[in-house]
Amino acid sequence: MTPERWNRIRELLHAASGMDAGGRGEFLRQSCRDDPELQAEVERLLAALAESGNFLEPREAVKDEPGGDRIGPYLIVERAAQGGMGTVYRAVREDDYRQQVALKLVKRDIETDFLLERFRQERQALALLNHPNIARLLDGGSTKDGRPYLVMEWVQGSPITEYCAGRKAPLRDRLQFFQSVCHAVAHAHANLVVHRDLKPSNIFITDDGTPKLLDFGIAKILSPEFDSSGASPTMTGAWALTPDYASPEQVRGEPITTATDIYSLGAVLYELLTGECPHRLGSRTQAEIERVVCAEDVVRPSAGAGAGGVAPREIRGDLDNIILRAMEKAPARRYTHVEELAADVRAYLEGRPVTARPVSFRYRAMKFARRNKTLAGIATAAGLSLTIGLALALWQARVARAEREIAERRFDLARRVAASLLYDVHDQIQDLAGSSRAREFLLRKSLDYLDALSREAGASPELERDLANAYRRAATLQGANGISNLGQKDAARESFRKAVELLNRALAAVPQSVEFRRDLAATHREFIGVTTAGPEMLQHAQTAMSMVETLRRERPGDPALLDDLQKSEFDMGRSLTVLARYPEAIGYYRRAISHGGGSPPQNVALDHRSLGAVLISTGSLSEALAEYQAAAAIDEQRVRDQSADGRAKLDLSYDYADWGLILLRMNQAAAAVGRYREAEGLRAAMAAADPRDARAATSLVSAEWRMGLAMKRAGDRAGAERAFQKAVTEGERMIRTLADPKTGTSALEDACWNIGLCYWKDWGSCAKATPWFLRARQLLQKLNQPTANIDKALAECGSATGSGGPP
Amino acid sequence: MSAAGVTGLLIEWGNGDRGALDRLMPLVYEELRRIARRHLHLEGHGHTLQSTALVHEAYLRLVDQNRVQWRDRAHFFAVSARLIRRILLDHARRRLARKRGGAATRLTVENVGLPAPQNVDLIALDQALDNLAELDATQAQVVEMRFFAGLTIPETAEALRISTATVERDWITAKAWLFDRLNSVDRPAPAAG
Repeated sequence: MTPERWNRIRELLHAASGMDAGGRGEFLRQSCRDDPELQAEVERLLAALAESGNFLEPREAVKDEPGGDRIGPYLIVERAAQGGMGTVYRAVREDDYRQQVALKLVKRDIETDFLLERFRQERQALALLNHPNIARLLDGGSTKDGRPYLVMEWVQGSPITEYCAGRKAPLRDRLQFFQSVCHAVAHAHANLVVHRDLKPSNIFITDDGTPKLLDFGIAKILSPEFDSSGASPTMTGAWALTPDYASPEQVRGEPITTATDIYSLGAVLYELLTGECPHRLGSRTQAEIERVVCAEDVVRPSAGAGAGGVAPREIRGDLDNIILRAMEKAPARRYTHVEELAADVRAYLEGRPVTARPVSFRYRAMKFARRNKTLAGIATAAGLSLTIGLALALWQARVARAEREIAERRFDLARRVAASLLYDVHDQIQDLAGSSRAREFLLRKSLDYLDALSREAGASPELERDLANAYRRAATLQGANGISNLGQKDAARESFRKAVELLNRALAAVPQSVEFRRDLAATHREFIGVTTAGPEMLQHAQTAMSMVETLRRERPGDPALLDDLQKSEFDMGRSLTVLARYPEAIGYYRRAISHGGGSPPQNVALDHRSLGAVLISTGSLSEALAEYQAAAAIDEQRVRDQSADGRAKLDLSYDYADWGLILLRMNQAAAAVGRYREAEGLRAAMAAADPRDARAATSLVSAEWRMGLAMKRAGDRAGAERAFQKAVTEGERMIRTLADPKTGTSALEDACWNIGLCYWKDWGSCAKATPWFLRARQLLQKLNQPTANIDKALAECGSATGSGGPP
Repeated sequence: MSAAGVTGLLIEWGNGDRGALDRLMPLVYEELRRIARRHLHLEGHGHTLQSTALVHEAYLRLVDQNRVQWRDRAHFFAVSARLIRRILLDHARRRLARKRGGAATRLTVENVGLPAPQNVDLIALDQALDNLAELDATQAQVVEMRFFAGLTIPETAEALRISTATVERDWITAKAWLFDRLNSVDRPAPAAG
């Protein structure tokens, strides 16, 4: 193996390890096209990773935590188990020694904030699970060093399979335990909680013979795929499915329903009766697990040797049918409800007929489904071919007979048409008022070209890279922050995803290419601009960061890579800020600043400004002030160097405005007014130079009323009222001038509301506040936004003066 | 060796004096060997060597805790990782040589603190780490620091002056690679006893 090859494998392994089972397969197929060996190697290592558990892991020093063997309000009694996702301790509450709990301390590499957020989301549902056979989730929190933990009822006992095997329990007892388990699962399903990870080690029988289900709902908190916020977390290697009990839909990463639990219950019953796992996995690679779980028929339980202590002849027939029905590949063909499964078990125990039918009945249905699948495939292919444009159809016809050279020229031409649409034509019309529909059309056409081109096999890595960069451009136009865009975030993400895919494909051919890898890292960084979900931002930032650091190991002196490093550190800081992990964010911003030697000054100023903003959040005002001063010094120089660049002026005005905010917090109102005045001057000049510049106008309105509030704090009421009036004048001008009246309406509404509050709360004049609130209310209604806050303010104001509220 | 001497060298090294490292190494090596000898002596009585405990002990003996910062601790452990690896390997080879002719045995180090201690074949691990270093020297160092000296991810990042994100990636992927190497069936199995 060469270092380049290893680097390639490592990137793919790292990326894939953070994905769920379904995304992983598709990702590897796409990334390893034309290189089955690469794919096999990565899959082998993924399997090794899943199995490696605590291999080489240093001891997690619980002892080192402050306060001795204590986590939150719990005292550790002993370490009870070590699992894939962390360590389980037996513990007691420090204020109640009698209450024993199982405390799960989650591994350090799991995203804390994400997990706690998930915990908060789930807690309500889990609190409703009050059932004698379900161990309760009691509490959750995080340790002083930020590791999350979950607290559950302590259950003294052993897994159902061990318990029954150890006591050589008769079939009837086993089935009765199983029935109780089914009832508990049904109770959870009725409360809309799916277990997702039913397996013998989660089904305990206590020493006095009571079944207890452990970890109910925990899988959802820890698993990556279900997330109402649409965020996808980074949990590298943390969540390993137990393939012996996992359903096909779980293995494929498809949606999980109550049918998933029914499948797992079938698998548990299989093992409970036969002593063997239902699947015969050759290895634990992703591909093998998927093949066996999703495609291979389960061996009839009665075909075993009776290793579990139940004779095969007792299983043959009804019990075979019950288990195989629960374990059907398609969720829709399993029992529709857990209670149905329990009822069949009871029917068997009472000697009545069961509803589950032998397998032979299902063949016809299965064959029918297969036929229809082929039909569906044909329909899809026809649909796709219709979307391929005329130019491409011609091109394809050529390929059949023309030489490769000609084909590539055509390909190149099509590529250039797409690029021209995306860059030249788009940029020319970008500033035209009302051009957004035309831009949308252009973009859609370009994407049609790109999609068609990227479907063509045999493109060279260079072409693939060009296509990827065109997708990046498209994504930026669709929805990147900070530029004039079309507000199509989802479409932008899709385009970025395609760019990542193409670059990975290209990299498969030239894994050592520095430029391709830099492009891929840049794409991950750009992705951060189209998402607001912290965990997802962090995942992309981390991927980019690792890639850049690897490149720097190879080429330590490359100044372009130093700039890449600075950008990646900035993005780490930005993502961690969104996740409210301020100390870490501060560290990354500081490193970005120290690596900014080769970066454009506006980026270094941005580093300082962002660091300053975090420092405001942590209350370190004097440190924050120093950062804004540093940013301002750079931006002042930029303004001097190139007075025509509006961006520099706008940046400088932000430095001044936030500087003013800090001074205000430090109770230096007079000085704050001065800073705001500087910001106001810059923004007013920009708005005058280009009356259609929406950002200059919006920020001018905001500077005016904020300056007014600072003047109020400084005791200058006349000045404050003048500033308020200016804010309104500018806001009204915006509404008249700008192509999109919404921006101005919203800016003006913000101003009116804040001015109203000032009259009411600071100057105690409800009479003077009311017209401002009414104006704000009217503007909000134009925007079709809720007016509850204003209505409340008006009502309170009205009752104070007795002049009556709004109609 | 006085605690003040090692502490001073450690701080100088942390401040960028590369020469300090050359003077620091032999001092730390000496102390580690001394502690290791005592631990390894007990090995025959059912004790297994706990490499992280070894470094902790050396650190407490050699370094004046009042004068150092978190960063210096990471640097000390980083130096120790390489030394520990060498000490353990020397010991493993010696023991293997002693046993030759009799029942050959794999030399293992207990990965401490786990309820089901896993045994790692030291000689095979050493070889695999050398191979990994040929592919990426920094990545091999990450493993060395994490496994032989028990450094946390932030400590490793500090010691190597790279980001925690990269340490995490390096650690996870190296673990998979090494686990695969050390457990794959086509590797020649150790001679049966």
